[in-house]
Amino acid sequence: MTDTALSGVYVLDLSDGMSGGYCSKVLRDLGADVIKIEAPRAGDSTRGMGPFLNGVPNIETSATFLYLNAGKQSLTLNLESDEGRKILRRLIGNSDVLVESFKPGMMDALGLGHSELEKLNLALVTASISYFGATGPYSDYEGSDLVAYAVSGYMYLTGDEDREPLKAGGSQSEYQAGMAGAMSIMAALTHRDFTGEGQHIDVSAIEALNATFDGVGYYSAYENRGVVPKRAGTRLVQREPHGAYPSTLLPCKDGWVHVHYSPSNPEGIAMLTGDERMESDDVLSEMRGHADEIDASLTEWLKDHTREEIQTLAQEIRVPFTMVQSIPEVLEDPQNTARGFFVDIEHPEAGALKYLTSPYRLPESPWHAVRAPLLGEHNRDIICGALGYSDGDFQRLKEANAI
Amino acid sequence: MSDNNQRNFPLTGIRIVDLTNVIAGPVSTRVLAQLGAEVIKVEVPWGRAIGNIAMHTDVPGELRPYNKVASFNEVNRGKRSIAIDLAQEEGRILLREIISVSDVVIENYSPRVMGNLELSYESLLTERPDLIMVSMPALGGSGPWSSYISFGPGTDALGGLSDVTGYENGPPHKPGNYYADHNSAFHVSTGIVAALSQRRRTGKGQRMEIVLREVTMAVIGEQFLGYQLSGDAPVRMGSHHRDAAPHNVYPCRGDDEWVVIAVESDEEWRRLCDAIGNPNWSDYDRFATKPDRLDNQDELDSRITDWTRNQTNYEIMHKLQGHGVKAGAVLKSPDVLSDPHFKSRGFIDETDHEDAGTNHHPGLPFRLSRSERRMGVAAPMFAEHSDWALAELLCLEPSDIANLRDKNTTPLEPVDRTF
Repeated sequence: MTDTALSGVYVLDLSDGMSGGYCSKVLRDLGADVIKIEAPRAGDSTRGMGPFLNGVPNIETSATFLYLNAGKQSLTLNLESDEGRKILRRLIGNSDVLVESFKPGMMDALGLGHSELEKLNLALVTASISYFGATGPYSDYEGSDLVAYAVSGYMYLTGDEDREPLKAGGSQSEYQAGMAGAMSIMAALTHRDFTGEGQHIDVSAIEALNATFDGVGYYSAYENRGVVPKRAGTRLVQREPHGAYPSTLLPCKDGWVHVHYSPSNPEGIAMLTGDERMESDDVLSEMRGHADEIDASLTEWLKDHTREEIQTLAQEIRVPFTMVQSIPEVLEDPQNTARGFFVDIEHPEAGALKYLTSPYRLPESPWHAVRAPLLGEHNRDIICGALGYSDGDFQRLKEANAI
Repeated sequence: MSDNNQRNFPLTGIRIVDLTNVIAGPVSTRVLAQLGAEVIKVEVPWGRAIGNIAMHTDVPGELRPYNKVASFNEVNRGKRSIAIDLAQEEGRILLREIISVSDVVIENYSPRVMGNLELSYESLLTERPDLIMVSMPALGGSGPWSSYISFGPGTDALGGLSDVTGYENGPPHKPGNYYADHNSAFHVSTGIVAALSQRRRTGKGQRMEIVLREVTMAVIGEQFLGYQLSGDAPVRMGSHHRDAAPHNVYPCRGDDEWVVIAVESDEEWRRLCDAIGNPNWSDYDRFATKPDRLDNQDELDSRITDWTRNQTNYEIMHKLQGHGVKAGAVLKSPDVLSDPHFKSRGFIDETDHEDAGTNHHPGLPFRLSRSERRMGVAAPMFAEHSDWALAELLCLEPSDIANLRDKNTTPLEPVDRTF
């Protein structure tokens, strides 16, 4: 076996949905062994999210599940049954990490709170991921990705100034919560390496999105200068007249480009557009104060050029302009192709698809392409193999609806 | 050093040399500093490089304005600072010596710079054979676009996130502020701690490359598979949801005040109707089931707006949550600061900085039951730890240190440089 960063780390992912799924995906990408524990029959809720093969709902062809769970094993367990909980407890003894995303208090109600589980395994690290967090006056509030954008303040910073706030594309609170989970689990595993003791981690998706304002002066702008940071269209939220500009999206001949000022070539925009005003002290000393003028000058030039021409011409003179690419375009672009960022993986029901590899393709910890599991695909391996139940026991557990 | 060794931080004893600038790199090491790592920020001798990009509090004519750059002070909390002129041979030697007693070095220069500074990974291995080195190129160190430069928002564009963000029927949009930077920061800090854990087992370091754009693609991964499976490219839909309604942001009483409501199941819909007071909408039947609500979404949104616009966003959030309906006020910076929930969780980090005063910042989005977090430690002042690094860490003689000062190899105050 090739060594990986997390060789020998065993993760039980009891979570439901995207945040815990991404958390344990990151651990899997770094080499941990992950068992995804799913509810019998329906499975993880991401199996119901789609998009599905040919648009037909099918728990085995949901894009969201297939992406987040590639490389994990699937075990179905009914945690409302005594037998189901007993199997979980037996697995805890040989596991390092447990990830869960029930509403705060639910694990305790099931008798599976961390203080109970650590009696079985003192070294266990349990990460509980929720929207509002496990403590505080709103800890029993109902959360969702949309609610997290709102309460975190992220939404107030996204969208056009004169329109309603906007959510980000995709499900970013879920990903940031998952990432905060993975980060804190790594910290707890480090603590454990030195002390032998595990611990409980409380992760909040709302806090994870608010944490993406580090460096914005989100609080200090208000406290020191009375400025409430507010969405500014496709420009950065900062709007001091002397601040750098551009950083925005503008239309061109065949779509949109992201234009950004160049610290290493401040005259670059003038060189591209031929507009001498763009290299004048007047503009360069107060770039954000001239944002509308810079946009107008650039738009005039951009409209005659395609995204690809713009990116190539600008990058040749170290001006960081980039194309806005659609999802189908990103799948096929020359950089991703050259770097092998997408790989073909075959799945018995979803067929062959191009999957993302991982941001973690490390020299000492290679990433391996493995498909997502079918619902309960590893039930027999785990229950009869690892835990030593007999075939008869296995049948009985199935009939008792425990797995 | 002192507080690291005496307290129960997860990353006590880890030393990181931070050569990064702007947002993504500094945030990744800020997270590690707050988990107890000793992060040595190596600064350029002419001042604080982030200055031109983000919010300032510096005012010309003030004492030590370079110590008051708000953005710098935020992303460098808990670190140590030394300024080194890497254009000088002595400066590069000094940096190599610091690296030789460190576990990790991290940089986010454009790809060729480290080679130009004679700081390639291979050459550093002679100083520190188990070194972990991290680079954070925008688009990757290989491939036809490897020499391209981009900041975070540009990688959102090139990676597909901008294209799936936006109002219904509107153009592509920008998510958050420096979203891609923060997203990559947490991926980098996680990767570093994982590589350290592998090194404890194997004794081997490694050179890690974490690419901003690849991290952006990773957080919309389901979109790439969804397109291939369904044959439909994703469309921008504002704050609507393809499988839930009502699911939107609604105006409330006051100026630019909003609340979100997210209803998926019919059961949640009935709870929302209860909370609203079971309105006698004549065409109520048009919203009875999820497919009905998705089909008649615009009318539904306008009915809900009639109800939300005369109440505050907090009133609506509390009322709907009391009925088990997912709802959230769209908070602004002062709202978050005074919100009882954020307060009670101690999420917001407060720092006292000798030159910049008291400030608040986003904290760590997780709490550990046994490990402490190193919160409340301000960013260093310019070159604040230069003496410590030279005398205590590297054990240089006072005469050598005086020599480095004379030549401005390691200045204690910014030296002039025209950009």
